[in-house]
Amino acid sequence: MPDPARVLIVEDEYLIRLLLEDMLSELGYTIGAIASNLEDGKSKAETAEIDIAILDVNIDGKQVFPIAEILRGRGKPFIFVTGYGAQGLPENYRSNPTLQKPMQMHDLKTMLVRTLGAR
Amino acid sequence: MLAAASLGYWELDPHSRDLIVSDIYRANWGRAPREPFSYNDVVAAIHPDDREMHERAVAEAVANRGDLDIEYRNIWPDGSVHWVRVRGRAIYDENGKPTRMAGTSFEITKRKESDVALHEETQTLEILNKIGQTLNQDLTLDHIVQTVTDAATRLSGAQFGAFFHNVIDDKGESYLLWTLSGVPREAFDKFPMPRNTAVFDPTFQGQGLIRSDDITKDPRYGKNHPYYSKPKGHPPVTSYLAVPVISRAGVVLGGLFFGHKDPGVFTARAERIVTGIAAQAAVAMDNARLLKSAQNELAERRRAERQQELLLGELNHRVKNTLAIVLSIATNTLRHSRSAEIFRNSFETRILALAEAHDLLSEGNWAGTSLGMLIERVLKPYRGPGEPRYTLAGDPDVRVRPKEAVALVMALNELATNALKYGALSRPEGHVAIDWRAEHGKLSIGWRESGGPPVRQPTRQGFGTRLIKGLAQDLSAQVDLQYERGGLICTIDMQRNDET
Repeated sequence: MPDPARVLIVEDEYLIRLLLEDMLSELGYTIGAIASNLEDGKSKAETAEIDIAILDVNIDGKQVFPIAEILRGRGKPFIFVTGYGAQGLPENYRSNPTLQKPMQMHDLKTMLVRTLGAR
Repeated sequence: MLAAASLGYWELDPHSRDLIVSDIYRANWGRAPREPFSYNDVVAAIHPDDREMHERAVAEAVANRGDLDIEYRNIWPDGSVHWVRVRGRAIYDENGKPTRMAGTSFEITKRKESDVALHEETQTLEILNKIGQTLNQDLTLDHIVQTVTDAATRLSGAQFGAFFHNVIDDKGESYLLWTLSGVPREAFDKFPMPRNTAVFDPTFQGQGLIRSDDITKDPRYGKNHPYYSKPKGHPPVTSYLAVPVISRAGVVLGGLFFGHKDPGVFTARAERIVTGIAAQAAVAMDNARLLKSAQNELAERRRAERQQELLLGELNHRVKNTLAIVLSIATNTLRHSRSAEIFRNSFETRILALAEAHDLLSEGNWAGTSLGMLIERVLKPYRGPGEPRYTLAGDPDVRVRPKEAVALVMALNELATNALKYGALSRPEGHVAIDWRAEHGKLSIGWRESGGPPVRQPTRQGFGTRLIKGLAQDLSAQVDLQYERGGLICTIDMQRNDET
């Protein structure tokens, strides 16, 4: 039995963060790190021991893409969470796995398995 | 026969310059029958501009043994100018020397005048036609007014012309612009815009055309303060012509004004031409305006559509976010509820608190809200009959940002619910004191319960506690929960980098 994958959560709304934490725990993942703002998210994306990240696209009115860049550089996969739909994403991120808010546990599970499996 | 009747005869000795002429020839030069008329008289009567041409033509015909056939102007003793056609040929002796030169004369003034008129008319029509074409293709207001001003100035014979036209800016305000022809712009720079003076007014009112041989003699001239004539330094104007430019809808778009220092320059023909140009200008300006307003409208609509797209995107984001929050509350409430009834009660108060927070924010246009008002709103349902069971103390001007407001409403609602179930508000003598203080970039909020049952630290962390502690992350705050003997004490210390 391999160690459960460690997840970085970047989400500015506490209650949504809570929901993600609960869902991930229930699905058997470990919370590797949590960030509620862009700066904290960037430093955790650089240093945290994680296998995958879940990124809210809109962090307090700012876009999360600088964090996504860092993760790309580290070769860590990530899943976007957004209320805007895929057309709210820039061209170079359109094909990235994206969850629509409000997210469902089943979708989260499928997407995590597929994204981690594709590594 | 008529032509023959007006054909004069002349005979010249090139050496002595003796001249023999018929009476008809004399008549062609405005002289009486048998009046003495020498060759010197003839040369003196030729129009100065044509004299050299005449001299050369005669010399050439003699030298080349060719025919003389020229048309020139002569000036009659009464000063009037006439046209004459003169033909002739030299006669030579056996040595090839010219002995005599003889020929005819024929008055052609009428024909010449109609030739000139025809030429002018043709030119005018060509220019008018060209203006028409230019104006039809051109929908730029600047080009239209310049084309019109230049053409009308040239065709009317004016020294200078001006086109004053009303322009409506983006704010819908009308102002006067002007275009000149024939003088540099500096010539008029120091003068104010023509006002509603007695001379200019009829044109700007669209009341029709004014044509004057000498405007300085016009009773309307010089009636107005401060100049009482033309302003000092203004180019001299004697002949004056002004035509209003009126749109199809009857709106005065502006006026065309022409001036000349000499009197009597503007003819009825000039008036007709300028009126025609003014009509063409009106149509072209109408079209330019229609195009401009259509373009403005289109741009406005695009801007509105973009704005709407942005708003819709933002709304979608907020709605989806809120649904995710509701889902989170439901999931967590369910996990900590032993029965459906307990779930329903807790879920309801939490969702109502969330709705309350949104109400507060939308009342303030999502630009933040007063903290005192926020606390008051959260606690109102727990007020109970009679004296309130809580006291508020703090600066009413302290404001919190939208995100802080939502987190605080949720947290305070949890504290109040707990107080009602297990704490100070579960007993009639219980009391909650809430205070807040903003200083040194920090906002501190205190929740102090007293008079309730003895409290102790719960063994298991409920959703309420988790919620309060977790919201601290959202607020970059330190949350401290102390289960004192007299009741719960909760302090929230928020970092506030910028005053909001």
